[in-house]
Amino acid sequence: MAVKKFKKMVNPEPIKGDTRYGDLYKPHGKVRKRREWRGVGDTLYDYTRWLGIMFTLGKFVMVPRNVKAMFRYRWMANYLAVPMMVDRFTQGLRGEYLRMAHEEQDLIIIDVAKLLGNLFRGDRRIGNDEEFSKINVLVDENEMTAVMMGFPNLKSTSRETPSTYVSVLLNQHAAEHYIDVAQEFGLAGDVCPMPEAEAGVSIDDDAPILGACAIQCNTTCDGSLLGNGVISERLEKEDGIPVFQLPAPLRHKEDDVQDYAAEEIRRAIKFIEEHTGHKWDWDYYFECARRVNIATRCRNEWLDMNKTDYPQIFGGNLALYTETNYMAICGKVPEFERCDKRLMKLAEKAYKKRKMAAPEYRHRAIVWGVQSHFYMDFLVWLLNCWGIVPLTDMLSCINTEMIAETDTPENREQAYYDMAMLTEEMIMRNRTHGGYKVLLDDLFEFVEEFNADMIILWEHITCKALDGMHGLFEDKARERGIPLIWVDHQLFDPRVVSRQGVRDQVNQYMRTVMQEEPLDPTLEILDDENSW
Amino acid sequence: MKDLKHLIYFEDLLQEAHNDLIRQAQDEGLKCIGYMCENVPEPLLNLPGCFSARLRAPRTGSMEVATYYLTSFLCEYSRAILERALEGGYNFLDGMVTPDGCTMLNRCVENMDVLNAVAAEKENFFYDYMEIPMKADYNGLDLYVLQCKNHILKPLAENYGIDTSDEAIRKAVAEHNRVCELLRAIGDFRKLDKPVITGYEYNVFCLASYVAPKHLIIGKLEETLEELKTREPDPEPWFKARVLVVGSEVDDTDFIKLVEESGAFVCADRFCYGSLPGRDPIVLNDEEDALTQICRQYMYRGECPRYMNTEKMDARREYVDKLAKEYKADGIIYQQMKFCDPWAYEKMMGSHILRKRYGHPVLSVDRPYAIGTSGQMRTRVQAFMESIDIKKIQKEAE
Amino acid sequence: MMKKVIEKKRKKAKRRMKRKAIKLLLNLFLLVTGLFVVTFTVYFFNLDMKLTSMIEPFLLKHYDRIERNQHL
Repeated sequence: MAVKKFKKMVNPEPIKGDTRYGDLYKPHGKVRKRREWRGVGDTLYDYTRWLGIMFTLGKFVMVPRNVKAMFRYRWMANYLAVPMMVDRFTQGLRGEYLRMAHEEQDLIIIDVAKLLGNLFRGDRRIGNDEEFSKINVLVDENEMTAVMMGFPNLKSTSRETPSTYVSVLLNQHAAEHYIDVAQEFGLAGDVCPMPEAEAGVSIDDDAPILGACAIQCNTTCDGSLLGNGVISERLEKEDGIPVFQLPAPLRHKEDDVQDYAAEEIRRAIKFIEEHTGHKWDWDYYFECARRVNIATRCRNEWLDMNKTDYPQIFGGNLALYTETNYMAICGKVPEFERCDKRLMKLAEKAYKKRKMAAPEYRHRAIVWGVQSHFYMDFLVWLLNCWGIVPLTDMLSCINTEMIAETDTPENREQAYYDMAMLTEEMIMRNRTHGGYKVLLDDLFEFVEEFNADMIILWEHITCKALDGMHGLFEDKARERGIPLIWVDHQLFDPRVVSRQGVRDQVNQYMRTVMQEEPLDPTLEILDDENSW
Repeated sequence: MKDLKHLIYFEDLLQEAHNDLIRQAQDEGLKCIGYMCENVPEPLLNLPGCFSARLRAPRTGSMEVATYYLTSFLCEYSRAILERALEGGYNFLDGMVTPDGCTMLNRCVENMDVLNAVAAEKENFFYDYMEIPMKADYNGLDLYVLQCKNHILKPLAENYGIDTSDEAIRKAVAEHNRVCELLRAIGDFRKLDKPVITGYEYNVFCLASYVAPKHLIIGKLEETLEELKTREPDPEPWFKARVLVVGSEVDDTDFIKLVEESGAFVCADRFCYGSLPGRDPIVLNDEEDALTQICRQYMYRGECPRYMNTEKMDARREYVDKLAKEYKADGIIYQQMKFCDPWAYEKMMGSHILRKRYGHPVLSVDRPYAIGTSGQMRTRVQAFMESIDIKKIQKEAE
Repeated sequence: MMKKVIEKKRKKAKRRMKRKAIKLLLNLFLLVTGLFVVTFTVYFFNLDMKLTSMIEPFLLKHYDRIERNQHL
């Protein structure tokens, strides 16, 4: 079968400002020499957004208990790198793309700052606000917060999100200490480092202690399920915080598991009501459901746009925002609805003008598999270094259906099934579990739909769900003549495969198989092993 | 001790996945249903007209092709099984039922499915995937019953006309229980201060009951039981210490042999393919349908680490403690297959809790699928035996 | 005559106010410009990240010294 070819597209508008992004890196440096020059307008815009981030961070450190927390929790040190995370994700972006990135990132920063503020306010070790602690329900990082959609006066608080998930986005080395702690206590090194690091935080006595109760979920995978057991051992028996384990069925595409799933949602809600004294509010639930639908509609439209020659919201702009909005927010924060609308406006504006985000689009790629969390800005590197447009990634290929948003007796019953569906179809989980069709067959359907000519396959080496399809991915890509670039990594641990190791896998393939030269050769080899 | 009459016979049975008794049963017209996980209720695969064969890959050599498909990060059990399937080693099967229990088993079977690796020429061959509960409670029970109906009983009835009535299920349970009672009785000899059966010998009999049609081994198990009643033990115990082996899948008798050659006596087997709780009889009453009762018992007694509710997690460690006391174990070997995620966490927690909370000496190891004569493992077990010995001496001195 | 004096005084006061306002505006402009120059310099030359990257090792040493109740 002949290899699919894509006709190169050249950007008629030259990119303003810096175009050799590798020159900004210092050898062995932790941070870059300077920020990017993006032309006068975009640089000033980026500068004002930087001021906004500084203001958010400044507000955060003005609260004494937050400073106390900074000195208590090792993972808080990673938040020194917040502005640099934004710089990494906005590398090479101009115009609408830069604005989209900032709309998303800045809102996420504000939201995470609020989350941290809540954590430390209720934390027995820090703020010890007992009354406030009672309105907090702890949730896992890898857990849809759909069960909280009907509790307007409760806070769904995740300890793992700021301690491991966000930390690794900020600093590639953030999780290493916790992974080592877990292994010192006898955990095998071949398990997924995400639950391993989360377990390590708990073992290392580095998790805030607060909350009326906790809802743990078996998503994403075996590792999460088992890692929760390590965490709940301390949470329940030592900290006295009751835990409800919420099982989301694995065969989520089957009809005969949905009653089970819905019943577990009912039980989780009852558990929360019992332990917090707060009652489920249907008005609030349907308001959140409406926002979930808006987010779904927007995401569907962005993905439809990405199927055309002029994709607009893609790469890091799509991936990180989707993860946050879909999973953590789940309709509960009105500001994200406003952000969805602003993003849509920007995307439509850029689409009308046939804008491009790089000097050339040489390839259209579906990015599949589990992303290397310590190198999420790899997606923007693909674009800048090799002109590969990451049209969508696996974690953004989630629920596309609307859920019931009008309050009727039938819809109240349907709501449990909707919440169950959202939980089962959590990001990543909806593909890594549910049978091989959702992981293997669907990938090639997306390749057709998005008119892609390439697959970038993130192979998280200790993700057994993904590894188990390795050979079949290869076979099918070969049958269809689609270039498939394997990018091995170890999710949270850059000591196994470094960022340069990740890049080299693409570099080698592009040079030897595709016989191409990079768009920006300065990005091919970067000495960023010590970098945040 | 004098050799047991049927030991060699059972050892020979374990040399091949497609053993003589499977051939015999299929010649009698019975359908052979393969499975890999203890969460699939065994009696439901042993209804009149069919029998179960839990998959093993004895004498596994290279796993190169399976490693290409699954990568070297999936456990060797799943790779060995896939390799054997791709070689045609399971073409004798008439169906395959797998739970989406652990990801690796699931992917192994999905690869078989996509690659059409098993019994491609058999028209009615089926693959079926079940959901299994992750918590032991009323909701989990409802799910389990429904899944068994839809993914075991229905395909058996539709593809092979197997009678899946309550009466048929009770018949299968009766046969299953006979095997369990025999193995329980044989296993009880391990509790003696001077045991008349070694852990290795017991492991052979128990393993055979998973991989061969039950009705064809009952006779020999009955004879073995009678033989053991009069078997003379060695005048002095051949072992330094009694150990309970706990953990993940062990279908390799060489592992138990190695442990016993290193100075231990494996007095109890709490692992997948073991007898505890895998060979606990299923108690049925007449008030409720058999299927629900089977599912309830499998769910509540299941020791699989994927059961995630707190009560089940605590119960797993309590069960190990109970077994250690019942079988008078001096120590516990907590083993896991390399690259097994569920048992990696369970071994870490279990080892720690059994040491700290229950005060048992614990050796925590991971191992490959086929242990062979691993020097490393031998050394570790020997060192563990020495440490138990020293503790005993210190205790006596006190 | 008085009227003229008052008028003169008023005009003088007005001019004084105008000068004050211009001075204020100028000061504000200088302040804003100064702040802009300083902050933009920090922003463009990445001085904020360079500073915080120097703080990190001290923080990490501090965390190592904290007594922890490390257990499963």
